Amino acid sequence: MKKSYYQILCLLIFILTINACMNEDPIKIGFAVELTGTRGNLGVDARDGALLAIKQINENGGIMGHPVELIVKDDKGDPNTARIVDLNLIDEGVIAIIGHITSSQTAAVIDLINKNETILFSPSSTSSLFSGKADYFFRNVPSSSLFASSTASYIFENAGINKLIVVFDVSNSAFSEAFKDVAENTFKDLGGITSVIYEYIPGESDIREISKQISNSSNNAVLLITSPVDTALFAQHIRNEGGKQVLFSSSWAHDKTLLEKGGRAVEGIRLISDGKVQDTLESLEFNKDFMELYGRTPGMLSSNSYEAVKFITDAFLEVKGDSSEMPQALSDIRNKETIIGRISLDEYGDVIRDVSIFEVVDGEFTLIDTISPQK
Amino acid sequence: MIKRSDNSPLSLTSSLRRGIVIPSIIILLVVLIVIFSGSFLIKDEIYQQQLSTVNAINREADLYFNDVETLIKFISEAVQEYSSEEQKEFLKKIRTNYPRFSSLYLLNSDGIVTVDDSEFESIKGLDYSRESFYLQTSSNKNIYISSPSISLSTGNISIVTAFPILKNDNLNGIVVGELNLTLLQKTIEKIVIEKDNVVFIVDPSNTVIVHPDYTMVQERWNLSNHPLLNKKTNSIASILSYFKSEEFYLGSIVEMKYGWKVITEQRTIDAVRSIITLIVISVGAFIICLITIYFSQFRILKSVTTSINGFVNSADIISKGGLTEGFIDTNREYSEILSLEKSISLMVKSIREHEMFLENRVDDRTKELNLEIENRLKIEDDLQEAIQTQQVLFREVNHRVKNNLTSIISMINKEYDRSETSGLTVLLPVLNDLKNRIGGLSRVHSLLSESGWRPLFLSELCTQTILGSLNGVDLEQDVNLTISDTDTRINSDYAHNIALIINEMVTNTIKYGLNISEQTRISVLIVDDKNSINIKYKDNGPGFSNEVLDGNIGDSHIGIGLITGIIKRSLKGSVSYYNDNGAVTEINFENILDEVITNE
Repeated sequence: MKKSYYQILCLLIFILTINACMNEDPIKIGFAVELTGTRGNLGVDARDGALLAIKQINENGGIMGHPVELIVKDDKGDPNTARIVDLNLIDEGVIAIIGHITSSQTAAVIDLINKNETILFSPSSTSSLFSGKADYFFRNVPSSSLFASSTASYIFENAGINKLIVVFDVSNSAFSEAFKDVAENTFKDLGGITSVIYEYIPGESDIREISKQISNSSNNAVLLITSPVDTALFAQHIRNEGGKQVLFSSSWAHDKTLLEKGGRAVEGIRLISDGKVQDTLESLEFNKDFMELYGRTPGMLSSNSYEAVKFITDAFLEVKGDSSEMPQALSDIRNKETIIGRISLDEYGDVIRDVSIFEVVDGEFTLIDTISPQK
Repeated sequence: MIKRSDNSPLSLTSSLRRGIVIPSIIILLVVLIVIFSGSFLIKDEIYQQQLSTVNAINREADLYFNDVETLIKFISEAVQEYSSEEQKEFLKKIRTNYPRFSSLYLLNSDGIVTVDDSEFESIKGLDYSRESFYLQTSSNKNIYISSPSISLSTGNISIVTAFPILKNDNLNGIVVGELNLTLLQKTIEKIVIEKDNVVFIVDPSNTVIVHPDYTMVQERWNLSNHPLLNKKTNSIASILSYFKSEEFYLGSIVEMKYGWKVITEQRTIDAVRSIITLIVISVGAFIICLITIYFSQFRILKSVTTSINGFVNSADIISKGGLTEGFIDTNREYSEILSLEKSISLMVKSIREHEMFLENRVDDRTKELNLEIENRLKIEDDLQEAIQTQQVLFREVNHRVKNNLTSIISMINKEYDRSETSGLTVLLPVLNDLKNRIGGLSRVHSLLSESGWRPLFLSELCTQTILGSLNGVDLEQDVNLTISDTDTRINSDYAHNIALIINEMVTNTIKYGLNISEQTRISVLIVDDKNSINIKYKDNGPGFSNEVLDGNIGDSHIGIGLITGIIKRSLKGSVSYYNDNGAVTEINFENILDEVITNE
């Protein structure tokens, strides 16, 4: 009799196990970036990089036996929409949100994520507004203040320029205004002058007119703190108007879109960014997998987003699924080898790593020099 | 050593177990067969529906891109004949008439934009030499269709089509047309898609080009993980479990031009629900069978033990001389076993009946489905045949009408020649007018039959009619023709009458306006609103006579009488004649019905 009951019990357990396996709850990660509009290229590249990471994690059995799901939302490059989509993601029970692309959207949601104690991990928001704060914001890109001061120093000291025109995109003021302020102050401290500052609003400002004024001016250098598409257009129009100025851009424009849309006009443009310095086996593998899956080469943010997913899932695994311990686990990351280089995070979630100077040569970003954080 | 005899209680339990286990396994097998055959039939039916939708969409998209390819090739040949200013106007005109292009421009061989059709922000002078469409087209010297990307000229998601302009096999430039994806979406949406059926198109990199949820296109989703796209086959049907992990889909895929693929997927909620219900019932039945077996084992053992006890008791009683009572107890236990056997037989019988019932249901449903498929195929064939017959008849009627009108014109020509030879000069102008009017009728008929009697662009109608009328006479000088551009289209009834009116007005201009010394100018200004049209026809001739201006239209002004008659009686409009450095005829149509005029 006992044997009979034991067999029935086994059968029931077997059925329940199958049922449990079929309804396995996924671990959800939110992803909120700008996917549409003229700056949507960066967001699409970032999303596809993150999705590749998710695919690889799930093919290797997920995390702790659970599949990982990326819930993607379009913040449309609008601060209000960014708040709404982040709230929706928090309601859906995500363990962290990867986003946003531009610092203005990140600035709009910082209070919201801190209040809800949800991690926000940005693959590209570099604004120094978010530095030095122990909160729920993390990133795998250095703060823009390092880029901005390095750029200004490079222009003055290495390029030998002491008079500079600055164009900055006010629609992403959290990044571009902070970048402009740091660059301007550094440049002044070194003895340079920023003669003209243009406030540019995509879709509203007359890009041709600004380019015409720049090309007619006697200043011989321009710093463009604009998106890749707009930097490409400025370069094209300045060259079309006959402008011979030396062009510099912010790290924001470090993307293949600048090369494609800028044509020969972006030749010689220089920028300081955190892009990978040399190919490693892992980064080549990533490029190959990305190409196989999407039929195109990855963008600059594809690899950052890919790594952002890895940072979050590794931290989740480290704390054995206890989300409340994740901020600490992320802050403890030191010398992590990634496809975008070796990265450490400090107690504020800020990145400590080298930055590099690139120049566009023959339609490619070519490395000129590397600057360490202490420099 | 004790040997187990064949009549031992354990052996009895085994045979009983065999008697229940074997039928229950058979039942389970039958149920599984039912499930699989049922699911196969459901799957096949849905697949057939999907395949017809996919093929229809494939045909529509093929037509769309054949047009695009033909047009861009035509542009690449035509622009070589024009100056850059003419090229710009030409591109604008093409784009106005073919709104599937959101932007058209020309690159020189270095990838610089030389001509663009933009009305707002010009992209002239921009360097596209590092865009993939320039690199691909200049190296392959063939048509290139890009993946969706953001357009610098419109800021929208679009697909770039590029075609080389070749001179002696050398690259002389590139025509670039950016395709409006929303329009392609609308073209595909025209095809009726059944409920719960999602149809979409992906490009060779598996990026979505058309999808019912347009944000998928705007956000450029790549669907490389889609199970059908992983299968690398042209035409299959399989059960998918992709988008939402707990829902099943039946999908089909067809490869089309440029390596694009049309994919259909249908949520098979009902089918899967039936399958799951069947599985649950069969598993439940199986578990009940097992429980019954084990409980019966328990009952049988209990009764056998009781029997043995009974025997022992009976033996004891017999030994003590009480024979009768002991036998009575043994009979009672035996009757219980018989009753149990009977109920098991009844249960087996009932299961067999149920199995028969299920088999009958499957047979009936299979027959019904076959009949339905046959009927549908027959209806489809009949419809195809009817459409073909109608098209042949339609072509024949158009042809005959045109032939008849040409015959009438030939007859009038002969009468004209005869009258001229006989000296009946008074008939000559009458015959000439008659010939022009019938010629006008013939041209209108040709225009409408070429367009398949669908609504015509008003500006195109005016242009064709005027050019046709002018071609019919020997002109000593070129006529300067200006016709305003409009998106308004009018139905065949209106088009027919308006063409006749325009023909009369051109005849008047030819009659009275061509003898002046300066170059003849004809302008047609069209102002349209939602339900009204104003047409102002003007030439630079001597103007209308005082009789016409005073409204005294007698027999000597048949043309004017005809124009007034058609406008007032047939088209319920108003007309006024006045002079303004030439004759001006102003026609107004108010409160036009929606079916007459379209602005799409």
